[in-house]
Amino acid sequence: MKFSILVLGAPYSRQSVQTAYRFADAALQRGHSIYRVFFYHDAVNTGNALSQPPQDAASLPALWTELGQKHQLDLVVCISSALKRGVIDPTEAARYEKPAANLAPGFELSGLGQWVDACLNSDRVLTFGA
Amino acid sequence: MPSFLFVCRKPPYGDSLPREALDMALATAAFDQQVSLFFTGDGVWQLLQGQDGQRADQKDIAALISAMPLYDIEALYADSSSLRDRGLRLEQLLPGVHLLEPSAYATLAAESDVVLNF
Repeated sequence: MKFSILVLGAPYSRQSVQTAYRFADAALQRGHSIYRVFFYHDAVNTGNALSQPPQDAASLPALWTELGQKHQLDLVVCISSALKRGVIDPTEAARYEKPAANLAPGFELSGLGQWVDACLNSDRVLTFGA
Repeated sequence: MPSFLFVCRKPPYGDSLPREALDMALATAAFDQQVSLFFTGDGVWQLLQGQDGQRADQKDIAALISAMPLYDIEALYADSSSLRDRGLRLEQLLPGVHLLEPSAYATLAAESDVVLNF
């Protein structure tokens, strides 16, 4: 089955980013495919490469980057949710004259149209809430 | 045409999720999809007439919901049991909102291609 995943919760505040990761990993291991993962609302912080958890906790951005690279996943961070929360890629950092960019490898910034497209091209969509 | 149902559960202010849910609904309609919104639980407070988000330094959620028909979103539903639980009546809600009994909601959800919960 072809899934798309909407993630809403903030990493390290809500369980949903972790749960979404475990779902994606399990689905891929069972031979399902994931058309797109869309990080929206507070979940955009999952794409923040500057996040540094304590040594005994997993790095959620790194986990997603690794899973994405292993399975060629389309990991999209909603641009309008992300910019106001300080998650930014080099192109947007240049456009808005910000001193740095921090989008983690394997993620891309894009618009809500990417999520609508994902809904139209997947067998099922799942929301991991806030 | 695929149909999208947005289920809105949160009160209008204090969290940006309700607003971002409405932004997504509007974007979905802008991509020529059929969109319905169902307000349930504390989400029904989003529909109240006379709210003033600016007093909380927020954009007004009611103004956004009132603009929905301009984007061809006519299907705005309030959960009748959530209204009853809160002592609210349909007349207190924004124009264009319809009441939906729980059984009718089950049918709406079953008939929608994509259901998104906020």
